[in-house]
Amino acid sequence: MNEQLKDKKAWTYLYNAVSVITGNKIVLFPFFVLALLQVLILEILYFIPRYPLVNFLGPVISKTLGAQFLHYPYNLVILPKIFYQVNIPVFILLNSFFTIMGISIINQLNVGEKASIKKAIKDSFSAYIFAVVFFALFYFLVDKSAMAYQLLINRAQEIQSTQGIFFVIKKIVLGGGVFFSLFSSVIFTVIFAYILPAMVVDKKKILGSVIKNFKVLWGSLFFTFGIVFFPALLSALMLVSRVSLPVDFAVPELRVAFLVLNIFVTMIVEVVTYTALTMYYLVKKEG
Amino acid sequence: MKKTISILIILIVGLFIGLSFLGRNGDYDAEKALWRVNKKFIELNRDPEGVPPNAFNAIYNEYEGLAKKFSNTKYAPGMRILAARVYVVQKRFDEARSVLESIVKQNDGDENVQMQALFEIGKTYELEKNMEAMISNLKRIQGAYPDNGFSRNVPVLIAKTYADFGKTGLSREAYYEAILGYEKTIKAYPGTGVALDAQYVIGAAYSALNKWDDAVDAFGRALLDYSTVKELDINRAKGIVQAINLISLKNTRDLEKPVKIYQTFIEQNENHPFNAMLEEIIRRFNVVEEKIKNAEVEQQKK
Repeated sequence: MNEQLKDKKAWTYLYNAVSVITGNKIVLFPFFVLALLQVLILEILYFIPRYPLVNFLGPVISKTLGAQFLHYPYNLVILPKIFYQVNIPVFILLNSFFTIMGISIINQLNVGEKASIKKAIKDSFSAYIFAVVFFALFYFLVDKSAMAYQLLINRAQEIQSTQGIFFVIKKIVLGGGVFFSLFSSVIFTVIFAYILPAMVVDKKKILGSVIKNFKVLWGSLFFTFGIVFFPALLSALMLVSRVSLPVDFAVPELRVAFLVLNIFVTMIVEVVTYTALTMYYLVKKEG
Repeated sequence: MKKTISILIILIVGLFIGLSFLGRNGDYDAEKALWRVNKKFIELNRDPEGVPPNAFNAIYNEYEGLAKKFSNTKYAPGMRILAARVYVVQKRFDEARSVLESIVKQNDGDENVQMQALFEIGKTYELEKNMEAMISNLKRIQGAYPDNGFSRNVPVLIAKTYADFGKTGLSREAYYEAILGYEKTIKAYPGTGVALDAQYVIGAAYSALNKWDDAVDAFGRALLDYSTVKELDINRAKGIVQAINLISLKNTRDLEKPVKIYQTFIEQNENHPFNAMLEEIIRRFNVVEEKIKNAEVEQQKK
């Protein structure tokens, strides 16, 4: 590992993570495959209202998601929500697999080996069950925090004021929903930042990974927060752009293009974050 | 690594091209194209007076173009109806009707499309305030599709049209004629949903004629004679009960008659799901009647 990494600064680690990724494209591979699979799912969802998919999936979709999803332009307005829902099992079942693959590749590079996809896949299978449990737990926590925020939104909606401090609070709560979910995701990523590296690098099981995670996190909380937070700003930027999209369906297709862009931005955020976190985990282990 | 990514990219691109090709010029593409033209049309409709005729002509041509392009989809007739509406907005009613007539002709046997086109024709006459033509169009609809729900309402719609144009005498005549017609319908379809509809419309016709007692009787029969007909669901029953209550409270000021209707219903239909609702109305009416009696006694004392 680089000498610079002895300097415990989030920026240094992020910069080195980008260098590692650009110098070793293989690190990108699992994250890129995951992004392409998501694009494939999005593509199928996009084509559901059209012939021939509508003949097979139309009745089911009409019953489960509502007939609106089969008609232009409403399908494109609902598409992000549907994609998010379909992405939940993808997140739990596939993200876990490919993220472990990514961490395994960084670990291989660290020990000076020529990174092997086969070995990464083998590592992924051996830690898969634990990773799935971890991702399911992660999703559960983020989802529950979103539900808690919804309670706050419900309370804010009861505020009748049209000016003053309560009005400002109402505006912040109502407008901040999307950013809250991103922020809660950042917080939970920080709290469990080193669980996956512990699973892959040290072959630890769930409990061992959790203990190791908190050992590494102890004394590095703000540093870890920096590693997770700065790349997440890119996602925040995407959220700002999404919120400012015209609501009157002026350009409905823009929403699809935006979703595709978001998939790749999320891929970049994840690959940089997990590379930096794994690098720190390895430095801690060596040091 | 490169192979996996290449396969995925080929799959995504291939699927996109394949599905786009298979679905081309289908219903979805028609909806998409229609949405774009509708958007322009709505924009022009904001201030039609200030729009140059060429702009409307362009929209008309776009609708007709879409109808040709997507002639194999279910949206084609609707696109032509929208084209006719472009003429309507410009008050070019004859041209609008000519388009609508061609839709009626081209879609022989398609009840929905023909009915929609005939409605639109009716609307053009309404905008021209042409009473005779409106009535003749209503009769045309009735003649073309005598058995559908709308056609059954045509006799009262004719009477209402006369009333809207201030032809009170003709309107009364039409209402009485309608009542006779509906009574025949009731005899022809006894104990059916069709007869229930007819009985209800008789009530509405008597209301329009300000014959309030007859109206309450007619609505009452709708409730009593069709208590076991499936078309008399709770919403329908609520509508009938509301009509009876409103007339009894506002026009006849006779609460005994509705109470008697509801009591008869409960007696004739043990454990009927409407009984609780009717019992509650009877209880409330009794309270109201008691209050009225007390007020009258107070009045007499003074």
